[in-house]
Amino acid sequence: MQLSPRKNPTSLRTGLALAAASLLGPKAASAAIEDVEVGSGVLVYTEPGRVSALEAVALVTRNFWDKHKLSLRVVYDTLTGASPNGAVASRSPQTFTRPSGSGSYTVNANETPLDDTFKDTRFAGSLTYDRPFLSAGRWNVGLQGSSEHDYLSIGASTGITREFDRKNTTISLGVSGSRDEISPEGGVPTAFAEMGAATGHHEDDFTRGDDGEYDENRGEGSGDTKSVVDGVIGLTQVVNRTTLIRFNYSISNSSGYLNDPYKFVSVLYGPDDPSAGDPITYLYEKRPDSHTKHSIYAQAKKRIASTTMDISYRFLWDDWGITSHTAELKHRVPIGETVYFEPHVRLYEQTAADFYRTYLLSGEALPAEASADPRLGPMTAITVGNRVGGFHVGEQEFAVTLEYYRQFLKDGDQPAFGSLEGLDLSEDMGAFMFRISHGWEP
Amino acid sequence: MKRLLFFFVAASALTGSSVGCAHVGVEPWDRDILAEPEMSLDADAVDLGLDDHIYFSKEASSGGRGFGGGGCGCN
Repeated sequence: MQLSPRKNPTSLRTGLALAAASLLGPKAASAAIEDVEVGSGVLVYTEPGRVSALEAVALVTRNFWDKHKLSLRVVYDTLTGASPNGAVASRSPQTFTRPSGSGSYTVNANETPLDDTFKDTRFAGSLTYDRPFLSAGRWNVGLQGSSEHDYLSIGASTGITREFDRKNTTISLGVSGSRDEISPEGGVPTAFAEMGAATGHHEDDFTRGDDGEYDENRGEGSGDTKSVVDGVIGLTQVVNRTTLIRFNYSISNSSGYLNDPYKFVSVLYGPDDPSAGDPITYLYEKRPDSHTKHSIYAQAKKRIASTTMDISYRFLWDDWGITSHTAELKHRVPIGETVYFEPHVRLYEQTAADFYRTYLLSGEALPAEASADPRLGPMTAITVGNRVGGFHVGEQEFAVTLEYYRQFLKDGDQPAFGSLEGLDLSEDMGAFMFRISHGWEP
Repeated sequence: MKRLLFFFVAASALTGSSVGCAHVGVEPWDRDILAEPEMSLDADAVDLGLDDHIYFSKEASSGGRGFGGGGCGCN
């Protein structure tokens, strides 16, 4: 058998650097460890006709002492555009009060109602300290914060890892908790209260009642809170010289205010009414005040010839009746000394939450909870894209990624009837994502 | 649960691993490929973070690889 030489410029470079550092003595070797890594990226996300977002992130990691690490992540994003408000399309134009209560917006007949009010800016940051712990172990602790004009989240996390069997097996355990404050525009709506009438004085105002009605129906104060606790236990295993696998089990519990304060549920005339399918009113949604999710995640990384395959699968289930499957494949193929293509496919499917309702009917008893948020409805989604990376400018490395994401919303259990027949009650959504990412290891 | 069992069996078969196999793992001097940045399970961490935020905002599922994310209104 003839052995072919390993063509691996990176490992050769690393090996030479380590050899040189060893030759130069402990001081130079230590300088190689005490370094800084910088990563950054900008994402442009756009749903044509709907929301657009710009997100920028910077991640700086400082290695110091003996294998201690301090990481700072800073995120800024800004979002503007229109988002589904939960109401169903109608044969007539529909007018909705803006979340602030001041003014209204009108949606054309036969169109999915979108609230075009959204405009938000978010700053988020996290600081993580990671250090050796006992023998063959590491311990990390972190703080996170995120702030928007109507949302504030403060959290902390900690985790340990322990290596076994010549560092071929790693067990990890992590917990995190956060306390979030929600301060919706116009105050917290009363669950299942009717949409309040606009109190503003715009020309196109929709005024059904006196100015007091809006406040009355969003009478739960200016804000509310929720708590989130997450736990993850993981196993990483080196299988052989070219294969690495990981299994995680995660659990997450949220409690407190879990409604989306900007989402409605349409109340329609029933099938026996002459106006069957037409909207009568809109109620603020109501979700349970507790949500527990579980997930199993598996990932495999495999070197095949000169290419690198990353395949993962997640199964998630929760106590809201949602189950989901997510499968992802990335395949990095070198096309030059450093440049590579990385095609990416992601497939997603979810079932609806038990309380998901496309609409409510006049005369029927109110269910315990109801939400028409399409994100809680049945759907499949696909992402396809390609990343081209490995462009070097000095010590800087750049990559660009273009992806298309499409959600295929499925009809819920409730059929179209009366005037709804022929309308698209679960309109698909498509989005383009463009990213530029950058890495620097001086 | 049947689904989970199927998944674990399929994942094990896919990666060629099996519980108790004496050949699982490598010696320290055979880690040249595993040490490359693209072989890290969390390679391209910045991109992964951006993706997680998108899907957290658009779907009912989040987390799995790490914590569930969140900390935003995300409409």
